[in-house]
Amino acid sequence: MSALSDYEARVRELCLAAAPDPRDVDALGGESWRWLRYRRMVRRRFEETLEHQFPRSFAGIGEETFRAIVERFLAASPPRSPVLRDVGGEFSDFFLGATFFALPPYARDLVRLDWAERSVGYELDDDVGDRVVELVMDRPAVLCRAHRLLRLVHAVHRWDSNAEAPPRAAPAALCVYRDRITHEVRLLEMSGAGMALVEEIARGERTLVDAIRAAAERTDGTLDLDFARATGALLAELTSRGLLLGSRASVSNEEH
Amino acid sequence: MTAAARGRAPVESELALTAEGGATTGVGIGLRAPLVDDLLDAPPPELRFVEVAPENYIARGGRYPADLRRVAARWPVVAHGLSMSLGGVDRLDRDYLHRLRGFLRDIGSPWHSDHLSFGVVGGVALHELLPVPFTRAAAEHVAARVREAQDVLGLPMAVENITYYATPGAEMDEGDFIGEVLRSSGCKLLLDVNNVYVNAKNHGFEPLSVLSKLPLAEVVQIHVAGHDASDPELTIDTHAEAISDGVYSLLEWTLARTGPLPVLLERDDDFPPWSELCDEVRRLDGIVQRARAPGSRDDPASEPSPTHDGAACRP
Repeated sequence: MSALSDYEARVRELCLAAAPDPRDVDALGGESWRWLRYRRMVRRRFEETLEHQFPRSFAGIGEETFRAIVERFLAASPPRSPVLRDVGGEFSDFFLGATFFALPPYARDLVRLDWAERSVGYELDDDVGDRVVELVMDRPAVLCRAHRLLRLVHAVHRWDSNAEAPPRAAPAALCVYRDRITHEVRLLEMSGAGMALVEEIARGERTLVDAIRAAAERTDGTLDLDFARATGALLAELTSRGLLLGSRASVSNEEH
Repeated sequence: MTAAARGRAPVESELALTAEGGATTGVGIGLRAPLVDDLLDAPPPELRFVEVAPENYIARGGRYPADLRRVAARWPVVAHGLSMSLGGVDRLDRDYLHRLRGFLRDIGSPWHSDHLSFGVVGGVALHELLPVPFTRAAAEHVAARVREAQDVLGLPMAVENITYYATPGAEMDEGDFIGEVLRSSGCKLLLDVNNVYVNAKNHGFEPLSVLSKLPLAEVVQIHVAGHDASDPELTIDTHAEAISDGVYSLLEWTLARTGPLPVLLERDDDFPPWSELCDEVRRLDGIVQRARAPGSRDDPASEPSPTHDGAACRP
C-alpha cells in the first residue's frame, strides 16, 4: 500500500505544513485549488475548536498571536488525539512549553484556566460503587474526578475580557469543578490553608487527619480550635458541592 | 462470503433497524447538544430514532452522557462514527474499537457506521473526512479494515459515502468503488444522498448516475442534510442549512427503489428555530410514508428518470 501511504502522507503535509509545498500539490494531481481547500478546511476546524476551547486566552493574547501559535502548533506538534475535544489538551501542553513567542505575563494562566474548565467539563463521572464510605478521619478522603486545582500568578479568573486593562498580577488559588447536578463548571476561590488541604487530600496518600496536619504545617497554621472549626466548615462546604465524596472504603484501594 | 465462512467470529447482532424490521424505520435526528432540550420538550411525533457520534460520549462524563441517557430512554439510538479512518494506512486503533464495542452495546445500536475516508496519518489526526483514491487496491484495503473492525465490534458495519472536493487518482468511479468495498467486506451502506448531490455539483455529473450504480439493496440507513451553495466555485457539505429540494428529490428516488429505511436528518450548526427542524422531519417522514405505500417501489434496476434528473438534481 505504498502508493496509498505516499498519497496520505502528502495530504497530511499539505494540510499541516506552515506553508503548502507546491510539489505536494502537484503530486496529488488534479486542480490544485481543490487540495488547497482541504488545507483551509482542516486548519479552520482546528482554529475554531481551539478558539472555542480557549476563549479567555484568545481574548487576552489577541487574535493574531493566538492564531500564530495555533499555526506553529499544527506544524511543529500536530494533534494526535482521535477525539477533537482532546486537541485542546495537546495545544495546552504545547503552549505551556513554548518559548518562541513574546507573550504577556498572564498568558500561561489564561491557558491553564481555560483548559482546566474545559477538561473538567469533559472529565469522567465518578463511579464510586462500594469504594467510598462516609467521611472519617482515619482514612484517605476521596475527591470527585471532575476537579482541577490551580495556583495562578495573575487573577485571570476575575478578568473581564471586555475591559481594556489586562489581568492583574495577584496570586490566586482555585478549585475548578463540575457541579454533579447541573454539570456546570464552577470556580471556587480558595484560601491558602483551604487549598493546601485540598491538595493534600488530592494526593490520595494520607488519612484525612494526616492531610489536615500536613496542610497546617505547610501554611504555618496552629492546630487549635479555630483551625479545627475552619477545617470542619471547609470539609462541609466541599461535601455540599459534591467535591468531597467521602472516605476510601479500603486503605489498600487505589484512589478513583 | 460471510464472516463465519472466512473463519472469523461471526457478528453477534442482526440488523434490527432495517427497512421493515421494526418501529425504528422512519425519520431520526442527529443528537447535538444545542438540540437536546427542544428534542425532549417538544419532539416531533414523526421522530423514530436518534443518532449519536460515539466519539462525543466515550471516555466522557458530565452533560453529554446524562443527555444521552435521557434521550435513549425515549428513542432507539444508532451510532455513527467519525474517527475510524477506514481508508487510512495507520493500524486501526484497537483500544478505541474495544471502548466503542462497549458503548455500542450500552446504547443497543444495531450496527456501527463510519466514513469511506481517511483522517489519521502517521499518528496525526486531521479531523477531516479525506478522500480515498477510487482504486482496486484502496477498495481492498478499506474492505480488510472494515472486516477487522466488524470482528472487534461484534456488530455489522455500514460505510458512508463522503463528500469529496478533490479526486485522487481513480481507476473506477465512486459507485463501482463503493460496490467493491461492500462486496469485499460484506458490510452495508449508509447512503448520504446530500453527499451524492454535493459531489455531483462539484464534479459535474448527474447524481443519479452514481445512485443508480450503487447496490441499493445493501443500504441500511440514509443521511440527509443541508449544504452551502453560496460559493460558485465549490458547494460545501456543511450540515448547517436547510435540506435542498434537490436532496429531497434524490431521497424520494432512492426510497422508491429501496422501500422505507431509517432516514437521518443531520444538522450540526447554525441551528434554526426548532419548529423548522420539526418541519423538515415531517417532510422527510412524508417521503418515507410514500415509500411505504403499496406499489410505490420502482425497479432498482430501472434507468434513472430523466424528469427527476433534470428537474431537481442539476447544479
